[in-house]
Amino acid sequence: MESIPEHLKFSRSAETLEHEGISIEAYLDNLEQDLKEELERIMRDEKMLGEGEAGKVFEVHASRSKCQACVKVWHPHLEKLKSENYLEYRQIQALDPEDEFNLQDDLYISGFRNIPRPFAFAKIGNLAIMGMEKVQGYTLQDIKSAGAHIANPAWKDLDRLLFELNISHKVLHRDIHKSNIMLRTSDKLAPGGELSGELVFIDLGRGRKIHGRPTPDDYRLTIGNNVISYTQDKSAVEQLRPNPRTPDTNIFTR
Amino acid sequence: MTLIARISKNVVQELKTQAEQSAPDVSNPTGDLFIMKSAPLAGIRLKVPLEAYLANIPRRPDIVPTDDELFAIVVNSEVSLRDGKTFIDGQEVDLLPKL
Repeated sequence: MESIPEHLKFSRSAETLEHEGISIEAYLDNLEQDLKEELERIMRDEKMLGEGEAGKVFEVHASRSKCQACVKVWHPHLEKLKSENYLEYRQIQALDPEDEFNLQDDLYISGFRNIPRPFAFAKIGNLAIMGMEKVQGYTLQDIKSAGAHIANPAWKDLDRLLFELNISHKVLHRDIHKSNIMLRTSDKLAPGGELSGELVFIDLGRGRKIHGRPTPDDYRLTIGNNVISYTQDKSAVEQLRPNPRTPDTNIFTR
Repeated sequence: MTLIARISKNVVQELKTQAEQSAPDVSNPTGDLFIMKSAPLAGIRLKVPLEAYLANIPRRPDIVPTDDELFAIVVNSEVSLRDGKTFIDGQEVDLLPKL
């Protein structure tokens, strides 16, 4: 029996296939090249929706479906950084890309729909990519910069969502700020405009699954003697409020 | 070189629900094709061995085998139907070739 090469791992695992006496080696042989070419096409031809420390997000054209798609491409240098400076890597990407995909998938399955729906994950060498729902709308940062504001939902709904995420689903985002919260809406963004929609948390790369109620330590990451406090240098979401509690309040870094 | 390709559990879960509640969009002795309504993906419920299937379709990066017993193949792209033919991103691909 022809065996599946060890370096090829599919969602239908090589072990399972081998056990069943199935060989898909011929199919997989050049698939790696196909995936690379497809990724190059996306990065060359598709519109970039955003870029962060961990990666870039590109739109993927889908005309028929109500749900539009996008692809997150993690920066390839992160793999090198992981082996050379683990602490710095973890500051950028607390979860490995595949674990981020798993967390997002588990959260979606458990009924939390205020995140982009994940579709698929692939890793080719040091390139990791995730296909997911493209959220139609704007980040709170975009809304603030445009001089628009949110009529609905209300501020208390953000509180409620975070409570649901932290307490009901036992997940801490740990990187909540204006660029990581979107308003899912079909309203147009215009200066002075009022928008209505649904809040969506994006980028779970610094997320964490917890057991029980969150403790202050859960919001941080400790590696050896080093403590990483996520979002420490970002302005508070609360500053979007008409009367923020204090200029540096950031209780929503959770 | 490491190669990993996975379809999310939520997608496979929805395909199973769709298969319980509705008829396939295309059906023949090779398998049943279900085009997802809520996302630009599709699932194939194979009636032939996976190995035989993969040996007879064009190699594409968006045709992904899964560990699921019911939906062995998920197409990670938008699939459409026109005049009884299947298209991926506008390109005709026979997703259920006669074996």
